Amino acid sequence: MNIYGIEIPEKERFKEAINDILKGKGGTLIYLSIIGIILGIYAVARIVIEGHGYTTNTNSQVPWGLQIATYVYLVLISTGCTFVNFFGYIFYEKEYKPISARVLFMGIFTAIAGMGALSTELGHVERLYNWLLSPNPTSAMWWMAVFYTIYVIVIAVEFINIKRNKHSKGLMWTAFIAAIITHSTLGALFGAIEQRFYYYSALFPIYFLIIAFLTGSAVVAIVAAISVKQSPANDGALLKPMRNFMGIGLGLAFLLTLWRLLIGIYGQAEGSHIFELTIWNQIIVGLFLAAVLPFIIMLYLKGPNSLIITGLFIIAVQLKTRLDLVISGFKMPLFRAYDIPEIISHTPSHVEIFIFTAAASFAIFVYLLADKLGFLEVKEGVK
Amino acid sequence: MERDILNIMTEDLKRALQKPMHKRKWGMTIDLKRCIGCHACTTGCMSENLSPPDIQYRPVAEEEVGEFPNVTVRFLPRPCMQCENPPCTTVCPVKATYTREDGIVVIDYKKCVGCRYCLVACPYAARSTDSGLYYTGRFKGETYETEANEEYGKSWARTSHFKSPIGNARKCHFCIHRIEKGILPRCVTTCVGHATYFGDLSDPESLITKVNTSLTAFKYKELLGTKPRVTYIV
Repeated sequence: MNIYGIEIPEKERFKEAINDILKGKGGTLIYLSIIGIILGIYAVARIVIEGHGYTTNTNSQVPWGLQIATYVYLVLISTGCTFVNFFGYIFYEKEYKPISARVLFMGIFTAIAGMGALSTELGHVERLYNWLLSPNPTSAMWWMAVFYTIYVIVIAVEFINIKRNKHSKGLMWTAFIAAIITHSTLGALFGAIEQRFYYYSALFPIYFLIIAFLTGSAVVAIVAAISVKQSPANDGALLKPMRNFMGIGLGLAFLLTLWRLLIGIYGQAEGSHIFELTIWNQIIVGLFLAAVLPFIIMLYLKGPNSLIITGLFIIAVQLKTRLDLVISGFKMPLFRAYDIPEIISHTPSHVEIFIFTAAASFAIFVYLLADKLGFLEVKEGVK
Repeated sequence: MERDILNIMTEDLKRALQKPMHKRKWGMTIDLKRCIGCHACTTGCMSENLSPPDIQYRPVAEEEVGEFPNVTVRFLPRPCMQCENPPCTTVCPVKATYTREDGIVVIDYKKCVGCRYCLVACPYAARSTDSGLYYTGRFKGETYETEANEEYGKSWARTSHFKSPIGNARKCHFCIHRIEKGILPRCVTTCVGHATYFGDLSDPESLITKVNTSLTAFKYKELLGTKPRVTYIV
């Protein structure tokens, strides 16, 4: 079946894929992702029935928690996919092209999953129409939502173009610029908050883009390595570019994290103590585990497995650093009444953890299903 | 006999209400020397606005200063500063929070999406999120917790977490519903030390304007450029 030039899998293929899953032949990851989605449905039901107060550990002192961190984490992966798609086409078109549809598909659905996680955090998600009816152009959050919508539409159109084998450089540039604008706005949303010393920095928009490139390249490296492993005919030419992308991402992430930490420690303003409080966490997790160790792993291990291990390691540690990034802004209370501690500690509730699990699982499930249906292949000659 | 300052301020308030809204600028001044840290303002405010757990519009910070034997405790009551240049209104994506013509920063509960960006942006931590907690019971509190308050001159019952004010950001609003009836804010009337002054800052005859000429008056975190309408006197 062909809709607007895009080959849609036949009905029989759908049935076959569903039957495979029902018969237990879907592959472990697909079942894990289904369990993850079920946990998410449970978590959302708990929030709907009991409300945020009894289900999440966010409160007036820590207004943003794991759900916001999940949103940031997933949309940065999405941005990263768009970046890798751009640089892949620019520098390694021949090697990269076969996986381009996979990369953009992942980019679209990680963005959607991130939005889903965010919506579970809002007190009144049903009032989102106010974005249109009562816009506030002075708000970075308002702009972020506007750019975000444009961004998802642009990468969806680019995906359609790739599927139609009509890759357009103009659209690729548009997607790249949209990704930069959208996700640097997300960085600015945090970075413009003068009152929170941990966030307040002009580095933040750039930092977000670098982390996006790193996490995106880690995800694409996994995708590329798996596709090499699955197809013996593949000579693995794509692995080297992916290794290069991850290496560059790790180096830049190390540099920015280091400078953010050093500049923060030098700070004298109110709240600057937060960088001293979190120094060991930033050195061990932010620098060593998030940048140095994966680089060493990548150097010493060879072949597709090395990319899978390094990629998984990067995206796992980046989740921890995203949570640290969001929560550290609230560690030091801005005003201390008698019952507010000097340092606020926060651990996400199991409902929040399930929301993350579901959002990540949703992106993985949709990707695996599309893969099973053969929807992610780019066939030459399709118009 | 010296007149009670509550009577003076009530007269100031009534005089200010004669003026059009845009010509009055409400402000508050807290004399820290008179504050004894009794928290009557906090509890008065909570009973006025029926505040749920995790929400105090006017907490009082206590801080021990000095070393034994030269040690003392100081108190800092903190209402919303009703900034002239409020960071919370700038960041609100849907203009649910805005400054009224009389200078009070308010929240449109029906418009607020509950994103909590204003909580992140407020340098005074003067905003809270109503996440639907009750003091008693998990899903439904006692009657005194669910009955309607009169914030912003409307009736807001906390009966369901699908309905405002649950899910919204909340903050001190200088008891608009009282001042529009010519009654002083609850924290002013409950203060046992008469430490809190309230009135029209644009009225040169008002008590608050005279009090604010004190050489020891200061604004909290004023270097941030938020221009608070709450003044402290030490």
